[in-house]
Formats: sequence, structure tokens, C-alpha cells
Amino acid sequence: MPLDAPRAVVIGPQPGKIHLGAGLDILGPPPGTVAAITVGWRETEPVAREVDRELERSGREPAPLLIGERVGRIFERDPELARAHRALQEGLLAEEKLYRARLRQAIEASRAVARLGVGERYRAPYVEEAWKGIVAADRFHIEHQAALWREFRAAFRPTERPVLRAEREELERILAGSAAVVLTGGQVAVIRNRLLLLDLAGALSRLPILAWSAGAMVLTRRVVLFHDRLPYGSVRPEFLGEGLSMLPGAALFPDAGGRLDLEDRQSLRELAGRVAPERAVLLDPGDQLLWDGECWTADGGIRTLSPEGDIECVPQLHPSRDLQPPRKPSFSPVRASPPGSEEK
Amino acid sequence: MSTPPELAISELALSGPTPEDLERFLEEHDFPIREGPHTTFVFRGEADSILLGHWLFGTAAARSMERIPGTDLWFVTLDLPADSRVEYRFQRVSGAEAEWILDPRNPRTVRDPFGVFSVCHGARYRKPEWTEEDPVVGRGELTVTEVRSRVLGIRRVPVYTPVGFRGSRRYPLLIVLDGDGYLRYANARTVLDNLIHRREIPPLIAAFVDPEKRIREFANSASHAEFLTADLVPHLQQEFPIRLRPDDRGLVGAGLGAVAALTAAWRHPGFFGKLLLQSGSFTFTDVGPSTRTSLLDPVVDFVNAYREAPRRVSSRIFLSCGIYEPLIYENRSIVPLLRESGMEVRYTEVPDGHNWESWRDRLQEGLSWLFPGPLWLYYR
Repeated sequence: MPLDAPRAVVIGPQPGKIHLGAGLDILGPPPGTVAAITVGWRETEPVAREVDRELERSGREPAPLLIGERVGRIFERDPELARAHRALQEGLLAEEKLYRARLRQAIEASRAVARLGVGERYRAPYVEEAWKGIVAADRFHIEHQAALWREFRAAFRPTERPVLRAEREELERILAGSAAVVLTGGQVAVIRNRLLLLDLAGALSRLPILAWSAGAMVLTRRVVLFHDRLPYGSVRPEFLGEGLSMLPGAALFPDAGGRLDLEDRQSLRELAGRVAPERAVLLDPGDQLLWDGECWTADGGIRTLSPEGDIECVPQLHPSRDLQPPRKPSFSPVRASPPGSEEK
Repeated sequence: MSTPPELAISELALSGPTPEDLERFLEEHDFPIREGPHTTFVFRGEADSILLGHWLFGTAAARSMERIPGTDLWFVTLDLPADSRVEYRFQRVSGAEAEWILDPRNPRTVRDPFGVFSVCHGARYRKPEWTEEDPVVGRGELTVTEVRSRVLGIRRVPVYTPVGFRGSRRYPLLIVLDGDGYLRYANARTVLDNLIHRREIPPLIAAFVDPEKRIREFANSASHAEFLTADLVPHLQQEFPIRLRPDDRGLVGAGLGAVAALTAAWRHPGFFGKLLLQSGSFTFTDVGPSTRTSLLDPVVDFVNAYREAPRRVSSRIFLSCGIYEPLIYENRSIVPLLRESGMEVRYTEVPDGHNWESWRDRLQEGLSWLFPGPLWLYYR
């Protein structure tokens, strides 16, 4: 790998056929083995085959990590862990419902206060307090989700259990022999869940990574779920929980043009405020961001949300320098109720 | 003539057309003619009068068509929203004879239990793509199970299981009343296949139930409610891997079927966590007896009682109604009562009538709101 190669390349969403070529070349020249994580897709879906083909076409050897299969085997051979993991999922889902109910009220309260026609002198402290309600709901949820995971790990020590340990050692062996990792998009909660269960953050952080969409979101500090164009309308963005914290300073919003209502400036402002101190980064097909361990860069600049909810293009993003303080909200139309989810 | 003068039909009428002019006019246009907000229905033929019946049951909503003097060409212009979908037929009256006929100049037709109708699509109406079979989408299976009911006897119930069905998983349950109609006329099986494939709803099991005596069973019947809750659901839970929580259990009905769904939930509050009620026949009276058939008295009694004392019967209710159907008033009236009782209610009105395709077109919104799929967790 060249000395100046970036630690990560985040590419835009891959809605049709997958194209990795240019991104792979940035990570390093062929040949070499590239580990592939496609756990965000069902086995019946063609993504894994497409990734393998792309790697082979570029002169590299694919090393599929087959994480979905491995976790299936682990649960089959270690039913106690499977039961405990199922109980963890139920707990995470229960908390998600509680968070959603609280968040809805907090956002409605914040917007109601902000739109009241009273003097700014009187309104401002109420706006400030109402905003704290949203931030508190987000923070409380993220902390409690992390606490459930900690309890699970403390009680069952998954990485010390023979079945999981054996699979994990095999994964670490494959990763140690790889020049880079590809982490695809897909079902973000499943990707995060499996990587957390197998505790792979350490092994992954030693390699350059090419990731997109859900795969890239999982590598950030906190994962935000969002969709303004569901069949019944928009939903309030929610934090899924902590990510692997390998890519600092950015909260990623893939397929921003397709999934976000970019005309709704008020909601964008709220979003920018809620993800602070990270910067909301918008990604669409064809985009490519580089992370060199210090700084984000992109040809043509990085599209981010300003604290005011404007889309702005910045040449670089230095997490240590550019982190923004949390922002106050103001009024925007109340949005539709949120969806459920299949796994957290 | 109240027809706007800039319309093609007005120009034709004012020109004193010859038979050749009429032929040319008919050849040059698609019918019905859509010009901005105006839709002109045209019929050519001899008759004493021609009526446009633009609701399912015809006469109540029939509009007389105007004859261009000196010709056998009849027309009527309606202002319709651009996303309208209107089913219609013409009634030709000659002497004592009257017959309903399709629009011979409109190739679009639809079939439902009452026959075949012509369909007028507004300029912005598009048949949703998720209602059509897609070769890349895996198909769920329909199998028939026999339910032995203590109250309604033996019922054969088609049950949908999704593609990739596994006995080791547990699935939400959807019970669809008038199941044959939903399968036959609302493409319910294809719709479920597509919505599951698009991740807009989770993989689920759906039972398509049909009544034997529709009015008796659907008009606020204790027996039917007992059949659903004490016979059908326990039977399905034995035969299929179904989740047991009420929030994973939904009941769907249209017209009187919507009444059957709401009354079953009312008689067994909390049993069905989700209700999808389409064009519900929620007939009620403010003063005096109902003017509708006495067969619907049990419905009137129920809705009047519910209006008197609304209560929470479910956790989420999706209602839809067409603005071209007479039931719009009843549906608008019940929505605030349902909301008052603490249920989450989503209500949608559409420029369509009381028909299966209208109900089909609302299934995406209704089902994905009641049973949200994992779509928002997928980032490609």
C-alpha cells in the first residue's frame, strides 16, 4: 500500500450495478486480497457476487468474510448465546419504541414553542430548553442502547465463548492476510449488529476500507436513520445508536437526494443540530470521500449541512478543527409518525 | 350550454357539424377527452336520452348527457381532479327500454363483482407499478386451510405465505375480509409480493376470508366477531408460525367489510392491533330512523352507539375513502371519533369511487403505515 494512501474511501450509494474501480485504486494497487463484508444483504441477493466480480475484474482476489453465515452457525452451535442475543434484540427494540415516543413529543414541543408569536426575549429561553429536550432524548437513547450491549457483553462474554471465538479467529486471520476491506451498503442495523457481536472494530481499523451507504454509516461515531420519502410520507430521523467510531467528524446521509427532503430547510437545520458535533455529510451516486486519518477530502468538495440547514460545499473537513456546537432549532411543519424496524 | 367555450366539444357543437365532421372529431380524439380540469364523456348513437353513470351503482349519480342539435352525438363535461379515477357506464334510454353499456370509444375497462365498467383516468392518474406482477419479484404461496367454526360452520380460507417463508420464523398476521374480492379484483397477492420485496412491509401471513351471508355476517354480527377471534385466529396460530401480540395482527375490510372489521375490534377491544378500513359503510342517524335498508339497522345501531361513546378498540387504524362515493360523509364523520378515543388514526381521501381498484391503490400507503417494513434501514 502506498504510504500516502487514505485509511478509508467512502463512495456514494450504489443503486444499480456496483462499481468499485476508482475507489479501490485509491486504497492501493492490485494485486492483493480484499476482504468483503456483505452481511447487510440477504444471501439470495446478488450483491456479494457483484462485489466478487468487481474485485476480480480489478485484478484483486476477493475474500468474502461470510459474516451472515458465520453468525448463523454461531447461534446454531451456541443456543445460549442465541437466546441471550435474541433477548438483547427485544430490549433494543423496546427502547427504540420508548425513544420514538419521547422524541416525537420533544420535537413537537420544540416546534410549538418556536412558532408561538411572543417576544423573542421571552421565547428564547423556552426554545433553548425545548431543544435540550430533543438532544436529551437522543443522548439518553444512544447511551441506553450502548448500556444494553455492555450488559450483554458482561453477562455472556461472547468473544470468549468457544464457538464465536473460533469464527472470530478465522475472520481475523482472513483480515490479517488482506490488503483492504470492502464494506457494502444494505441493512444498516444488521451490519452494525453483526460487527458489534463479533467485535471486529479493532481488526477492521488496521486496514484501509472502501465502504458505502449502510457500511460507511456503521463506521461513524453515531448512526442516524432517516427517510423522508416512505410510502406514507416522511419520518423523524432517529439515532440507531453508536457506530464503530472509525470515521470521525461526519454523520453520513447516503442517497441524500433520494431520501431527504432538501427543500425542508427547517428539518435540515434540526438534523444538523442533532448530529452535532459531527457534521452532516450528504452523499449521492458518484460521490467519493477520502479519510486520511486526519481529514476528509473530496474532489469538488464535500457537501455538508451548515448549522443553519443550508447545503454547503466545503473543501475539507477536519474533525479536530471543524466540529460544530449543537444548534438551536426553530419551527418547521410537524412530520409523519415513524416506522418500525426489524432489528436493532 | 354550461360547457366552457374553449373545449373541443364546444367548438364542435357551435360549428353545426355534419356527419363527416363528427367522424373526424371522433377519430382525432381519445375518449373521454381530457382538457385541463375538464373531462368530456362522449357517446354517439340514437336514443331518447343518454345518462352517464359514474358511480358503481349508477343511477344515484347519473348525469344526463347533452345532445348536439341535429346530430346523434351526446356529451357531458365534468370537472375532475387530474389524479381522478372514475368508473362509469352509459345508460341508453329508448322508449321504455333502458340499458347500461360500456363506453365504446374507451378501451380501458375494469371488472368487479358487479360487472365490467369503463374507466376514466385523469391526466395525473397512474396505475401504481407495485400493483403489477414483476418478474424479478418472488411470489408468495396461497394454500387453503379449513377452519371449523363453532358459530359459522366450516370455512375454507386461502392463506398467503411470503416468498422465503420459513417455519422457524414468526410472522405478523393480516386477516382480509372479502378475501376473494381482494385477491381477484385488488391484486392483493401481487401487492403483498411487491411490497414485501420493496421492504415497505415485513414478510407476513395473510388469510383471505369470505362470508357466506355477507350482510348478516358483516353488519355488526357477534357470531362473525367470535368466528374471527375465537376460531380463525387460534386455528391459524396452530397451523402457521404467527406472532401472538395484537400489534402483529391486522384486520382489513372494505365497505360493509370495514364495518365487520371495526365491529369485531369493538366487540373484542385490543385483539386486533391494526385495522385497515376502506370506504366503510359507517351509516348513522342524527335524528329518526335510517333511510337505508333495514338490513343495515345493526350497522346504524353500532355507529350511533360508537358516536355516543367512542372507545379505543385497536392501536392503529388506517381509513381511506373515495371522494366520489356517498360514504365520504360517514367516513369523515367517524375519523374524529376514532382519534378522540386515543388511537393512532391515518385517514386518506382520494378522487376515486367505491370500487376495488381504488381500494387496491391505497394498500401500499395503508399497509406500510400499519406494518412498516425495514425500508428505512436499507441504504444501498
